[in-house]
Amino acid sequence: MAADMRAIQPESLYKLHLECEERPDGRKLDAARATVVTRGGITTADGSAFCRSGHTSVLCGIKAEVCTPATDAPPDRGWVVPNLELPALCHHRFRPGPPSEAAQTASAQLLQLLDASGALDRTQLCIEAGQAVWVLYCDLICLSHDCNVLDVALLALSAALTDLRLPSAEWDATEERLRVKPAERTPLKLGPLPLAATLAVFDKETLVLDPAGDEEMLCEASVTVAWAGDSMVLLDKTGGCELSLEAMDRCIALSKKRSLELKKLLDCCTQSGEVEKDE
Amino acid sequence: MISADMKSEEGDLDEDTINNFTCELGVLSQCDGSATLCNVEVRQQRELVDRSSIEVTFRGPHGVEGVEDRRVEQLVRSTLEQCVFAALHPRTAVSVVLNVLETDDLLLLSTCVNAAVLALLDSSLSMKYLPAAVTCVPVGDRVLVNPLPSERQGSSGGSVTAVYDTGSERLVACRTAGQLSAEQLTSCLREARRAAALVRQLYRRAVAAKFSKEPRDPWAGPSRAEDMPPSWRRLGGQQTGEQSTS
Repeated sequence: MAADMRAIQPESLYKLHLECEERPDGRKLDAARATVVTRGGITTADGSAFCRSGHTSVLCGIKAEVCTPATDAPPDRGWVVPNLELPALCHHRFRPGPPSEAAQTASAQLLQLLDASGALDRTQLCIEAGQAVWVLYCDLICLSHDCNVLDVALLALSAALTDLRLPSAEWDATEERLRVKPAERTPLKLGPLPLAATLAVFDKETLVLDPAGDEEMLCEASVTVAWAGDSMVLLDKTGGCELSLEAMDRCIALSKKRSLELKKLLDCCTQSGEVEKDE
Repeated sequence: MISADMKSEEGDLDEDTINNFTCELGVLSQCDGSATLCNVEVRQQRELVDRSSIEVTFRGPHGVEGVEDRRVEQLVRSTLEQCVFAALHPRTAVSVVLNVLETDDLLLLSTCVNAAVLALLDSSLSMKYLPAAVTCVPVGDRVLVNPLPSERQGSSGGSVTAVYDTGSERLVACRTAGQLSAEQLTSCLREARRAAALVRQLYRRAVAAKFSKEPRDPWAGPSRAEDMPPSWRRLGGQQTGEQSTS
């Protein structure tokens, strides 16, 4: 009967769940899904991480290439190019072809989050000012889309940046060429990494953390808040139903709590270098 | 520029001091209003059977299209989808095209939202409410609303663009940039709510000005130098029709 109701009236079925303060997958309203982070899975990449939260999973690989800085750009800064791909295999609503609007906006958001958090000082990517800088191509691929891709992608990107090891490179001024030693690698010095939490809003007041399944489709609005340390680096509520300021304050508090959990997870992962699981 | 003390309830907001808010309706003579409502077939993949599909196209001021443009389009579109009575016009499309004449990165988003709303107002499309967007920047203890670059010195780089339903004073959409603390965000949202009411008064003025104008030949171009958009004036735009001494 629940299956029939889900097909015909998914909103009503979901509201019945909310009345019992529980969600279809058994979680409480402010509980997030179990998150797993694995670093270093792609040996051919300079840095990589795989992150899974429930059924949403994103793989991130970072390749570093050398480039000459553009004439209108600062000569002593490298740059980072995050690109999230939502291929047809991750969910039936995505078709093969050019990147969808969702993928493009997510890629832009990831770059904005890295910039706003100040996690990566671009001057570290400079080899020789005006001649050679590193460009980090961060390719993120969503392998399975079960809502909330941005949070998972951001976690994968942050983890991959901690896994990144740049080869040592020197600019030979006499011969005007670069000497790279791939065997000698050093990690980057990173500031506080951005971590995001998304909440779905139902009936204008009920907040549900880490939407999954049908929740993203059924919700009236969704709010994404990203934190880097103690500073908020993004609050994005794009359209949807109206929200009171009290509900917004609750969003901020819940997302802050979740970002602290994610930070703990990421720190454990960085220290131990192994698979870390957060229940 | 408007500034308000973060700690006090009273401020000195005044509609004349909302920064450089100029708008003119009906500037494009070939369209119904300044939104394009064309009598063309909706593309199959965009057609929705129970409602109108709203498309927003944003063209940045320079350079090629980028993924940042999609973010602007997403915010504007999601705001309009909520406020327009789309269900009244099934299997149609509302296409809003935003072209940037002068740019200020910080104020761009709120200006785009306001321009789109004004265009829909001018086109007489039914709307449930009028959204209004403002950008707030916390500088020290104060919150500045729609500040010019010179007024933003000393800010830590954080800003909040908030879109409010001017009728019920509830937050419709919000996007931040840069770093903010939770207290700064809350103060900015409160200040934005007050400023949005003033933006609504400016909408009212723009509509009143449109209907109080003498009907004029749409091919004549702007009749006074002051009516020309700033970019035209810089190019030494030609005046036709009535000449004025300037």
